[in-house]
Amino acid sequence: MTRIPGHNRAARLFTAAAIGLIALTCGGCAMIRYVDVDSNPTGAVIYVNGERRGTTRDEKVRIQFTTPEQRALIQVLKPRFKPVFQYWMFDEVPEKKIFKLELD
Amino acid sequence: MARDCIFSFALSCVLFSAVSCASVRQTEFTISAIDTDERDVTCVIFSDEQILVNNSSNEPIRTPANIKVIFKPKSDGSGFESVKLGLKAVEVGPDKKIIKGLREGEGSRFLEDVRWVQPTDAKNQTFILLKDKNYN
Repeated sequence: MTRIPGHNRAARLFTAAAIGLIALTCGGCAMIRYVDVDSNPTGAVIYVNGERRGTTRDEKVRIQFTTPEQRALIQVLKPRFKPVFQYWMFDEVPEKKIFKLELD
Repeated sequence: MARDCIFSFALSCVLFSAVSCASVRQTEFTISAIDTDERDVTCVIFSDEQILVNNSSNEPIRTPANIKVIFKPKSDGSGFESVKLGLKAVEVGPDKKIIKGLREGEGSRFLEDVRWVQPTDAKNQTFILLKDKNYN
């Protein structure tokens, strides 16, 4: 078999560059999950990662992750009730979650 | 030969960066506090039981505030240690100085809240504080 000088190195460089490009591209990809957040009683305010996202029984809540290791903080609060929270990683986001609120 | 040297140098740079990144990690968080009626609450921030202080004014940092948290790597190399962040509500006078809530054992209208943050956690960290029913 004939070996072309420098061919292997060029191939290695090309592969490394391709992997780097894929990693960079995927690093910028947003990972999105939607969850139906409800509460008992209803009408509680939802915060996702410290930002207000409406009230329970509204439309589904969108949670954006930048990496699979990142965790999202969901907080639910209502006046005169103890606030509740939960951390979810990308794979842990349920379809629907009902938070039970206790009177303060 | 020259190309080999350039390739080795580039590889060394990448490896060096990776090793440097693995030593400590710094993440900036925006810390704020509200009560269950979503009203802002002024708090001082503590990390590992130490109240965070502004380097220039030497005054305690109050919410809302941006802080930089340094995370140390875990000994087994599997990521970073979490850092404990807490908030303690304080009362601020007309001159914007803290007049109550800083001293040890001094009561507050709200209960303290703590959480363990990780370097990949969201930048906005909103604490929801409960009223202290025993406070007069």
